[in-house]
Parts: sequence; C-alpha cells; structure tokens
Amino acid sequence: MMLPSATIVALATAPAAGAVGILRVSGPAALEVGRALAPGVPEVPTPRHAYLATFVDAAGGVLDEGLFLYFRAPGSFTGEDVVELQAHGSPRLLRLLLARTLEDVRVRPALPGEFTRRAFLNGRIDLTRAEAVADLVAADSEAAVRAAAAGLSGALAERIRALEEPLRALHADLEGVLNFPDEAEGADEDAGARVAALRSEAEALRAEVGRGRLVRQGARVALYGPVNAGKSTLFNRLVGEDRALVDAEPGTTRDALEARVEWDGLGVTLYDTAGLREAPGRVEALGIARTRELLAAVDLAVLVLPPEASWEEAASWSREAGGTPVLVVTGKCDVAPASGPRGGVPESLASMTPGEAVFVVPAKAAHTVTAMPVVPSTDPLAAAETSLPSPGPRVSGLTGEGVEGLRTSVLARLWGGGTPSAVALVSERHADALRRTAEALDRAEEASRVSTLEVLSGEVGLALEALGEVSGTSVSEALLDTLFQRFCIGK
Amino acid sequence: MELRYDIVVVGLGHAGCEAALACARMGLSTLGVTLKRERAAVMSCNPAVGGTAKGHLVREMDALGGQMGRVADLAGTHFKTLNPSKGPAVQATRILCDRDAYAAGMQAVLFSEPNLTVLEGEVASVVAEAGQVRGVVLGDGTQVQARAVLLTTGTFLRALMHVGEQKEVGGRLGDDAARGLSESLHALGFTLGRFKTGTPARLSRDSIDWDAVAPQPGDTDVRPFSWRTQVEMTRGQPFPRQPAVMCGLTATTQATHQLLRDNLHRSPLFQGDIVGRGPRYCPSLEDKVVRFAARERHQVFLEPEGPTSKLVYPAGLSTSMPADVQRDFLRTIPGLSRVEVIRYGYAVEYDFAPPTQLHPTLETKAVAGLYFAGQLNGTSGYEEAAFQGLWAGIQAALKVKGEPALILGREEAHGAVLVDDLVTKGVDEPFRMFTSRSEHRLKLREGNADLRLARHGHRVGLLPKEALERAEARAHAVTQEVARIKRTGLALRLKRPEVSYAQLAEGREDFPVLTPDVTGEVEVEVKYEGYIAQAERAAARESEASDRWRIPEAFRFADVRGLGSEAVEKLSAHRPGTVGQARRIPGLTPAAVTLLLVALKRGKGARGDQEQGCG
Repeated sequence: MMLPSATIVALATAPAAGAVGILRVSGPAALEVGRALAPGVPEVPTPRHAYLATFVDAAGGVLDEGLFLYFRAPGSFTGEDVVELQAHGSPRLLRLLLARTLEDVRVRPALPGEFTRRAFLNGRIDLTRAEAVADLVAADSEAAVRAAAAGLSGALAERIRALEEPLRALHADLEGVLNFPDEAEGADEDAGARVAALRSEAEALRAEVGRGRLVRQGARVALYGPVNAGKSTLFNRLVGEDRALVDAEPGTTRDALEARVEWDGLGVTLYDTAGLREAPGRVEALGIARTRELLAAVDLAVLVLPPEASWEEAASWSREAGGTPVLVVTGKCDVAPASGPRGGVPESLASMTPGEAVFVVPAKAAHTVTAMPVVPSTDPLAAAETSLPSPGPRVSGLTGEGVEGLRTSVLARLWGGGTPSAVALVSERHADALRRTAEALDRAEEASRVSTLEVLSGEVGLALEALGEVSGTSVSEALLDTLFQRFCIGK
Repeated sequence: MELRYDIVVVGLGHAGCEAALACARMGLSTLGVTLKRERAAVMSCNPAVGGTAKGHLVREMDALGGQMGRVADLAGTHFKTLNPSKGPAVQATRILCDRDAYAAGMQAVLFSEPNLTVLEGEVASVVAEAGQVRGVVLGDGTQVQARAVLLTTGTFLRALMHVGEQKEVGGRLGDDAARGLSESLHALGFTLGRFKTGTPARLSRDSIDWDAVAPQPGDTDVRPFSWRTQVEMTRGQPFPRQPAVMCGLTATTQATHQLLRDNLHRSPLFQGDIVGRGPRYCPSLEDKVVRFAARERHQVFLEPEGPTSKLVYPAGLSTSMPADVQRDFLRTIPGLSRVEVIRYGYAVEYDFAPPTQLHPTLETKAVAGLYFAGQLNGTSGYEEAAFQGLWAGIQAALKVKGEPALILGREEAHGAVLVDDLVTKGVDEPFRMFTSRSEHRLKLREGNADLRLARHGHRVGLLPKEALERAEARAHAVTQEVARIKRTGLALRLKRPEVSYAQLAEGREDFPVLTPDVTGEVEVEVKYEGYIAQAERAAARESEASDRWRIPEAFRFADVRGLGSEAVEKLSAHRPGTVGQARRIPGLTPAAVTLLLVALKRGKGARGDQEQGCG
C-alpha cells in the first residue's frame, strides 16, 4: 500500500503582528495548494523565484498581496515540494491564509518538528541534527505517553475523562447497533441528544484551551486612545519598570510601538498605538484601518483617556476596538483634577454583545483605575450604579502611581480573574487534538440530524480518536472491549 | 508412493475450497487433501453466509474471483438486507442457505475443476528444507512434492469436543481430528495457541410449536452476492433457486437462566476443563447468563437448515452443557416446550497458529512457500476463513508463477483490513470481522466491491473479462453522472438529506437513463463526499507515508538508538514488514515508530528501493 505523504502547513513566523508573515507548505500538493491561494502564479513557476502575488479567498476576493516562492523537490529544506507565501504580518490574515490551505483534504497542520523530520527523512540534513530531532520527538512523546499512562494530572485528566467515557459509551452503542443489528437494537435511540450534550462539553473544553494560547504564546495588549492622555508615558512605565523586559523596539507595523514583558510568568506583548493622534473620525482612513486591525487582533485593548474625557467620548473610543474587550483607564492622574469622564454611562455600552465583559472607569473617584465588568444587561445604567467600585490605585505613567493596579487588572482580565487552569496549560499538539475533537462532534451533531447512523458513528469515532491523542487510549482497541461489555452478543 | 503437484491445499473447508480453486484456476496443478471427501465445504455451525462485515467480505471475494458468493446464492432460502436504513456502508446481505445444497454446490465446483485433484486422507507432516517448503507426507506414508503448501485445517488441529463432562477427540461432530500436524508445525518452529468455539444443539423441526414463535420472513427484494447471479437475473432467469423458508423468533426465559445457573458446576467452561479462549461476540448461553445476569431474556432465532431439512439451527443458544441440561433448558423456551434434540451442542477446543508469524501474503515467515489461512490463524466465521483462503491461494499461485504479490491497501478492502489486522496485531480471541475495524468504512461498501476490486481479480487471472467489463462500465457511468450533476450544480441539491437521486431526476428529460446500481452509487458518492474526506484525513494522519518503509528481515530492533526495551520486545515479537505495520502494533508509541524510521533511514542512506509498496 502506498499512501502518499500528507502535505503539511505551518506558519514559519511567530503568529503575532509583524511586518511579514510566512506560511510554509510542504508535500506533494504544495504547489497546487499554494496556487489555489495565489491563482495569478504560473502553473509551472520557476523554482526559487519570488513572484508578486495576490492572495485570494475561496470566492476569489482579495485577501492580501505578497510574495510567492516555490522550491521544487528535492531542492528545498524538507526535500519535498515547498511553497512559501509571504504576506503582511497580520495575525488575522495569516490565520485566514492558514485556514484556506487546510480546506484542501490533502493538507493538515504540521506536527512539532515535522518539517525537520521530513528534512531528515529526505536526506536534507545530517545525522547529528536528525538525532537531536529524534531525541526531541522521543522525549516529547514519551512524556506524553507517561502522562497518559499515569493518568494526566489534575483538572485536565478529569475533564478529558468526563468527556471520553460517555463518548466511548455512545460510540460503542452506535457501533453495536451497526454491527449487531439484532442484539443492540434501540441503543441509538437518544443518540442525537447525547451527541449534542457531548458537543457542548467539547466546545467548553476547546474554549478553555483557547485561553491556553495566552500561556503558550503570550497575550497581546494594546494601549490606545487620544495622544494627550498620558498613554505613551504609561506604556514606557509599564515596559521600563519591568526587569524581565525582552525587547522594546520601534513598532514593526510602523504604527505601533511594541514591547514584550513578562508579568507573573505570563508573557505579554504590549502595543502602543502611537498612530492614533486624533479623535476617531478625524484621522486619515489608513491609520484608523491599521489601528483597528491591531485592536481587533489583540486579546485586550486598554483605552487611556485624559481626565477630562466625557462618557460619550469613552463610548465612542470603545467602539473602535471592535470585538476586543476594552479596559478604560484615566491617565495623567498626577496632573489632572479630581474628576473622571463626565456624563452618564454611555448608551452605546448597552449595545455591547452579551457575554463580553467591558471594563470602564466610572467617574466617582478621580484618577482611579477600576476593573468593573459591565454585566451584559438590558439596563447598563443600573448595573454600573449598583456596582460602583471603591477608589482604586491611581494611574500615572509619570509617577508610577496605580501602575501596579493596572497590571493586576490586565492580568485579571486576561485570566478571567483566576489563575490559568490546568486545562489551559496543554501543549499545541493537545490543543490541536481537542480542536479536532470538538470539530468532529460538530459534524456528528449535524449528521445526527441530516445523515445516516454510520456517518454519525464515524464522526463520533473520529472525535474519540482525536481525544485519544490526549488521553493515550486507542479507539480501535477500546471499542471492542466496550462493545462486548455493553451488549450481549452471540449466536 | 510419491506425487508431485505445484500446490497442495490441506483441508477443504471454506478457506481450503477458495484456496484450491484459486490456485487451480490460476493454472497450477493443485492437490486438495481432506479427511472426508463428502464433508468438503460443510457449514459446521449456522447455515448462513454474510451479515454485517461478512457480507462485505463475500462481495469482495466475488469481485476478486472467489466462489463463496455464487454457491451461497444458489443455495439461498432466506434473504435479508441488514441495516437497510443505517447507511450504505454498513448495509449488509445475509443469506440463509440450505445446508446440504451449499456443500453439494461447492463440491460440484471442486470436483469438476480441471487442474484440481481432491484426495481423501490425513496430512501427517509438512516437509521443509532450509526454510523452503518441499511438500507434505500423508498418514499412509505417501509423499507429495509441492512448490507451495497451504494449510487450511480449521478447528481440526488437536481438536477436542466437549459436551458437558464428556470429551471426545474431533474437529466437528462425526469427524476426526488432525493429530500429527501440530507436532510437525512445532518442529518447524511455529508457536501454537489454543482457542475454543461452540455450536448450539440442532432441533427437530417438527417438534417446534411454530405458532408460538414470531414469524421472520426473508426480504421480498432479493439481493444476491455474485455478479454471475446478477447477470442471470437481468437476463430474466428465475431467482432464488431454492424454495423460501420461514424463520422464527423466540427468547429465553427466567426459567432458562435459573436452570443454567443451577447447573454451572456441570459446565466444562466454568469448571475450567476448557482452557482455550472463546470469542466474546459468540459466547455460550451459560456465559451470557452469567455475564449479563440482569438481562431478562436473550433472543433466539430459529433457522431451518433447508426447505425440506428436518433440522433447525437455534441461533443464540451455543452451549457445551451436558445433554440433559441442554434438553431441559431448551424446553423452558416458548415454542420449544416439546422440542426434540437431534444433535446436542458442543464446544470445540483446537490449536491455532498466532498469525503474527505470517507475512501479509499469509506466507509463513519461518518457511517460504508455506501458507496458513482460515481458522488456523485464529479467526472465526466462514467468510473470514474463505477470504483468507482466497488471499493465500492467489498469493501462493502468484509466487509459484514468479509474479509479484497482490497488494491491497486497508482503504481498498475489508479483506485487506482483515489480513493486515491479523498479521500485524495478532489475535487474543477468535477474530471476527467488524466494519468498525476499518478506518475507511464509508468507502468500503458492499455496493462498490466490484468497483474497488474487479481489476485486481482480473489481473491475477480469476475474474472473467465479462465481469471486469461490467464493473468498468458501471464505474464509468457513475463517474460521468457524478461529474455531470456537479457541473450543473445539481449535486448541491442532492447533498441535502431529504433529496434522493430519483427526486432529482423526476420529470427531467435531460437526465440520462441509468440503472439503480448506478444511481445508487452516484447518490452515495455525492452525499458522502465530505464525510469520506474527513475520514480520509484522519486515516492519513495515522498511517501517512509509513507503509512505504520496509523493514529488512534481518533488521535488529535492539540496535535502534533510544528505543526502549518494551518497544524492542514488541517489535521483535511482531517483526513488522513495514513501518506502517509497526505503527499499528498495539501499544507501540509514536516515539518508537519515529526512532525506527530514523534508524531505517540511517541504515539505508538513499531513498532508493523504499518507494516500493509493502508486501
């Protein structure tokens, strides 16, 4: 049997905002997949030649312009056909491009170290390097196997088991009905409801794991607001005070300053959107667009307002962040009079999407930073009034006053007030497996309504298989055991 | 006396029949040796062919040029399509046969096959020199020289039957056991294990109160297994050939269960007299009563063994209790209150050869030219046995003829999954095929077995041109129509669950006239496209590329850098032929597989011969 190698894809650059983002595709379908994104490139491109290309979405809409490079096997890093797409370094754009390549069934995300492994297998790198890689891979998987054997510790193991056991029982019931129509008759009766419940559970797990990205890759926080709010001073204070500062350099996006810091063990990339110098609506469209894109991509936007800003202004600035949660602070407390934003709670807050906690600074105690969630409610005014906070630490970039409090608020917001859960702390590989579990259950849920039992059971099996990569259980081996425990089968 | 044949097939059960016919039809002089000529192709247990996954195997054999489907068609008395609404891939045909007509039908084919000689006798030993098989020696001292030997001895090796406290030597009621062969295999270095299986009592048809059981008629829409039968039907020839039989459904009662519990001390199973492991999917009734104590009843299907047969097979009542207990518990079952037993149920213990000792061609690793197939490999079921027989027959014939082995991937046939699971994972209970063993189930349907396999069957010389052309024409029609409705955008409508192809075509004059076996496939292909792609993706993730990597026979797993001792042990025991097989060994970690790959690559240097498929 000869199954061709799958084509693999991964971002070759960090999934953060940068000048350039590189998507690397390797494998037999690389050229075809690359050309699907960049149809303007010739069918047989010259290897190692940089083409200026337009990247398009499935409907042919333009996503971005960038470079297309083709390396023909075996003259590439991996020894296979490789295509590199160099696009602008917007995380959202890169995610879109990545998702586009994964639409092709021949493509899957690369495993950790897989490009290197292929490079070795195809004789592109030498033994010394390859053994280092092999040892790495071995160490990684053996730790995983040990963890699986010992039962993954703590909360994650508990959650995985809570999902896996009913999932396995459901799979056995469905396969029982399919393989032993007489003996297992009726075991699939409430399959739809069971799938739906398991799907919600998997979704919840996936959402938590999504937060785990903050641990693995760090969180992104942007400061924005009008220029005279003391935002840049605050940025420098947040960065400068930190001894674990990794690097601070002029923003590669041209419009933002960027610095990476580490707070309580959590990596945070701070952006100062220096480009927004005016109130929204008055600046040039391009600047706004870029800032909006950055704000939409970060995990938290900190809106720094001058002490004299009104509620209306606060609301108007908040809207600029799109779907990203906003933390509003009043800067320059060292110079400002004891008054906060004037006016009432902005009406616009009432139109916020339910479920999105928004932090605002109410006017009462001047210069205070408070982290008060506006509970999504039909009556934001009431919510704000009933939970008026006591005076908090004051914020001043100049004196450092209130900075510690702001940092606590930011961390609290990123972690929902708690510490990272064990569930969130899974590896990329496990996160990917949990994602596939949830996706398979999505499809299973759909199949329970629109397709046949064998398809439903197949998708449940795929969900279990993906989950098994985390728990270390093999589906095929466990299935028969469960099946025979649950049904009395035989001639 | 000395005889000389190209190939010797030892045992003419379901595996042996397919093996012998395949070798003979592929042009080799073939000798089939059986203990009793008139017992060839006997259905030892239930009188049915097919069922879930098993029907798939029969269809696949038919597409490769096997015989079982055709014989079952002609002997069929009760036809049933299982899982009619659970999806096309798990839909399966089951044909209840006239037990005597089945054996007679197969024997007629065997005895008239030009290149095949059937000899009555017992094979005492297998002769091998320097790792190459040379032939066999019969019980009477006759030496038979052969270039390949196929052992398809079923449950007959050191077979021991149990009925209650009584033990009797024999592989099947009324038949002897094969004694010397086990020792001969030991001497050649093979490991043997012990399994058990069982069969229920046979009941007198006239003593059953048929009014007290629920009638179970066969389907009116009769679907045969074989392409030959389908061709005959389209030409208007009458089918089925046998008169229909009516089956019945009843169930055990609390009284049945109590009686069994009270007599467990007389059960050879529970007294530890039986040491061989039995199949979990085919437990004896006493086993069921103990393991599922809470169950109030267990279904019993009453299946007449032929239109005029006096015997009824009670499916669900396999047992090895003493005769008096059997009679008493049977009479607690509604409809059986006055039942007469014609033959009592029994358990049989037998030697099997753990199939990890085999190459994927079913040739033994220890002795070139020697092949094992069927229940000897630890499987259960006529269809599983027959497929292996056909497979081993094809491979042995190809090898003798100096042609490359037939290679089928797991994504091509359930039969390939069966063989791969056997030789890669081994067995720890009698192995039965399930559709869930295949990660490509949605693709491996009864309905497309010919589309998947006919070209292979024709290439090896077993499937006639007529059948190949038929499959090709259908494949072409399906491809054309799928392409057409995709082009016109109608495929999107067909993907909707409530839309059938017939509805799509209704009132449309621009639609081609197509037969149901074409439109059915079109419908499945369009509706399942997305799900199949998902399954493919997951399967590729599993086995990607690794089946290309052969592991040399002399490879020393202990020398692999970084490989743990447990992994070395597992690999040395299984001796996988490819990295893909290694990956499927139970309990072998992905890390171990990666290390193995690296070591293989290091040993090889260039890519070179790695591009060939696995054996």
